[in-house]
Amino acid sequence: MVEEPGIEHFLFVEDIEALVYITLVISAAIFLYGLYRRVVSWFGTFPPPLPSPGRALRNIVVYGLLQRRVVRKPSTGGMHVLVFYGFIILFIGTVLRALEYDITLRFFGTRFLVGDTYLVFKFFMNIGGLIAIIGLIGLLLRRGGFKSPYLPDRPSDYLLLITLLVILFTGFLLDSIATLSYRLGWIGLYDFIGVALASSLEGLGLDLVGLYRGLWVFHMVLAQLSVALIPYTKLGHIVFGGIFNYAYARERHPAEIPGPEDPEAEAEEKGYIGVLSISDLNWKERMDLDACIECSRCTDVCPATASGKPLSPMHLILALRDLAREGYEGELVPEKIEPDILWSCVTCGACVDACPMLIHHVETIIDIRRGLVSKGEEVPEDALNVSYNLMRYGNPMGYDPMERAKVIEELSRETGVPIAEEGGEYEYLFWVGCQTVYEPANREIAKSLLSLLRKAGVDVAIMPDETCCGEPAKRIGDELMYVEIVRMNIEGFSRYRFKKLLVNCPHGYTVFKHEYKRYGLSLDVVHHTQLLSQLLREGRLRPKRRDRSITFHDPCYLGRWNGVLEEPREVIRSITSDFREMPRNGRRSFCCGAGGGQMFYEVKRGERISRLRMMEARETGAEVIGTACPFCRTMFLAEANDSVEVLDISQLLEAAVDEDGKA
Amino acid sequence: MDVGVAVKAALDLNVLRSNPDGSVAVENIPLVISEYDRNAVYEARRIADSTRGRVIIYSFLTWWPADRKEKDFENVIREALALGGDEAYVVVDPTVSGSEPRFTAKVLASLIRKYGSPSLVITGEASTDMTSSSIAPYLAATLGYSVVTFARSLKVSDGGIVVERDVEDYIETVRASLPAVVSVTGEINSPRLPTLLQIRKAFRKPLVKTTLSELGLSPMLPKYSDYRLVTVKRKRVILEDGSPEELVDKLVSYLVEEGVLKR
Repeated sequence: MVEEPGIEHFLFVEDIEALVYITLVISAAIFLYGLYRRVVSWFGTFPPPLPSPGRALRNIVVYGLLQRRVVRKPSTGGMHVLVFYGFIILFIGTVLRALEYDITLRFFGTRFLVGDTYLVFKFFMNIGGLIAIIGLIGLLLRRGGFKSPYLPDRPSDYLLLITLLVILFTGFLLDSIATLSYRLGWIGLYDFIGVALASSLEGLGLDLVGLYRGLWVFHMVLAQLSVALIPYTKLGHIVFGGIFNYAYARERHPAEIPGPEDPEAEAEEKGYIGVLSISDLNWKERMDLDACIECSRCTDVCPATASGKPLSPMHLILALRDLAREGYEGELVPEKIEPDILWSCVTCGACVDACPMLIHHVETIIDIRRGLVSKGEEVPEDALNVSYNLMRYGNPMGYDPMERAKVIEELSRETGVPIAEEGGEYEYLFWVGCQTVYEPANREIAKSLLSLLRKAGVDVAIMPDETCCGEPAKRIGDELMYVEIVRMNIEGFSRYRFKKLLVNCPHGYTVFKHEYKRYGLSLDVVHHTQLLSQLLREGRLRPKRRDRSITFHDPCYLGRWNGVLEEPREVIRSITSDFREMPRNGRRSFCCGAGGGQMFYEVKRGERISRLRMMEARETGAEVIGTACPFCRTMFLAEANDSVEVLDISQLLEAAVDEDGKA
Repeated sequence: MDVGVAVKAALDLNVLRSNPDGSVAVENIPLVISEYDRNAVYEARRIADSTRGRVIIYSFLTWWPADRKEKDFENVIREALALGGDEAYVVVDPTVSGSEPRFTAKVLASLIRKYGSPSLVITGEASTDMTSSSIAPYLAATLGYSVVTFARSLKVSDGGIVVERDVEDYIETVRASLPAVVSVTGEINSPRLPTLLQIRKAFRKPLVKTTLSELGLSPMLPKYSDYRLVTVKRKRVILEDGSPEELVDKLVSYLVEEGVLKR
């Protein structure tokens, strides 16, 4: 036997050594075929075009190796981390072992897993196996009782976990027999599991060599089979998600919803825009489908699901995946997917933010909406009305466009903030936006904001000839209308000279900031909460702090999509000593129900999302619900009673500054 | 069977504005397809589809000034084409400044005779701006067709039509021979709003413009000078004192007094 610590390769099984290589070739062939099939289904070609290497590497490290998204849910994410690192260690160990036997020993007659190196190697293999077992048992227990109601729970889900456990247990059994046969004398606690098992095996009087040979074949074939089946099972997420979807991750900001390159040409060529059938999905959308690990984190946070609407982001992705894999060529809606599923989406992005595999559910949903809008079928009447109103009146509600000019004049007169003139030059150009102009209750937002800016001496002017920003058209899926509006607005902006565009609506903020640049206009866009918090920091506004209890609702399009979380809180903390967070706040905020065009139409199923959020806000006991979005404010006003006030950050701040008579 | 539809570009009541003296600033008000004409186009499409015919849109721009209204008018016609029309024949004439139903019917009849002469012409029960409900009868009289108004269902059978008429207190079913003019109510179908894409596609469909003189017609005389809005003030009667039963009795007697309810 070996004199110093090292591996006895193919102990007891030297005669059937070839079995490893035979099964390896077979499992590799099965694996590669499965992978090839998927890659071709995304790209149509093999090999696929390569992603940018730096970004691919960064994403694989950050989201894969460092598990950044996975650990956001510490309980199950933690267990996944244990299984993940356990198998990474075991995989590296197995590769090292193979390298020694098949390369260094075979060709050079030398070993490297010897002495202290071997002991460390053995120790790590013990650790790897152990943490993977702990993680897998944890995941099994989770399925036993602590799982989300939306988590798929089929026998195959258990079978997968149990198979991996069996591989690990048989591995340790093999290890302990080997330890018993030749290394018990010197291995010590470097093989703590092997030694512990060995001592209990010893007294049983078994045919250890026979047992070893049987277990070895079973363990090896099962492990190889598991690898072979990766592309065909849930384990596919390792490759499709962990490698491909990370490497080919979208480079644009998640809030930027892409559209067809040239919608007019697409309409001309295909007769429609967007997605009617699986083949209309782009390669990224198709890759997304295969990347899904079915963890239900998206559905767990979806306001549509929570309010009893038919949408569950995960089930939509899985339904599309099944259709893609079975080669379904027909139209998706309504044949295979109920229209209300798509119209239930509030585009709040909670799913996108929660997904550990970087799937962009909203992009796909809007793409399918585009298909429906193109056909003009299976679209809620009120959603079609939005498009029609935009076409006729330049606002989604169908209000008189002359009214807008009147309101803007009034705002200017009351606050002393000038209306922008061609040829003038301004630090900030203020875009009031439809939800603020046309909703009398929300005009107060603009009024308060402009008064504050006036007091702080900010160089600002109101944009006079605004129309819709295009956001409702885009989210509803009317791409042609959206592009038309964007072009018109870009022309409108070109008439004025300004450094920054100021908005009080996060929806406008999003499209101006992320989506207009595709059409040639890069704007420096500022949300009013950002500007107000800056003025506070600079001491240009000095509010009086009181103890009125205030909670804050993060608008999805401000907080989650754009990461503006601190600024509104800074403002609130400056005016009250009693700021109360709702349970779901910040990036984890729960939608008000108005996003994705649902301000203008309603899927009348289940509960109102706005009601659920209002109840959550009420439970804080706060006297005031602070908002930073006219959509959210309108929704809450509709739900509010006399016991609670719904006020925009600018209104809250103005009240605090006024009392003090300003600094 | 080809089906004609008489479509009106009506003043958009959503943005109706009057001058301080009550006169309507017609020249500044945008045009929109008259509500029930959507139903008419939709119904025509359904009938044409089942009889392998075309849907022909006819229209006469009655609002003025023609040069400022022409774009709006075209959009209305495109919308009618997007809703189901196959081709459109319209009169846009700079000499027109307003029209009354008999003249409008005469112009439409000339258009219909010149372009296609379909044996069934459908129109909305009334225009959303002027609400005279008289185009269908005048048009039928001018063309020499039979007329059925306020149709809430329409079937073509055996060279004639069977129509359910909604006459408010009851529904009557009438049979008429073709050719005929039928006016339809909003209940007959529920047209979808056309999307921008459908309207864009409608740009490929033929739209033929002509003038009064090309149709051999002379301008209507006398011309309208202005339109006025009649505003009715709310009476603001609030019933407060009394039990619910008494209040209901009072409310009913008020409504009877106002002629809203009949005893």
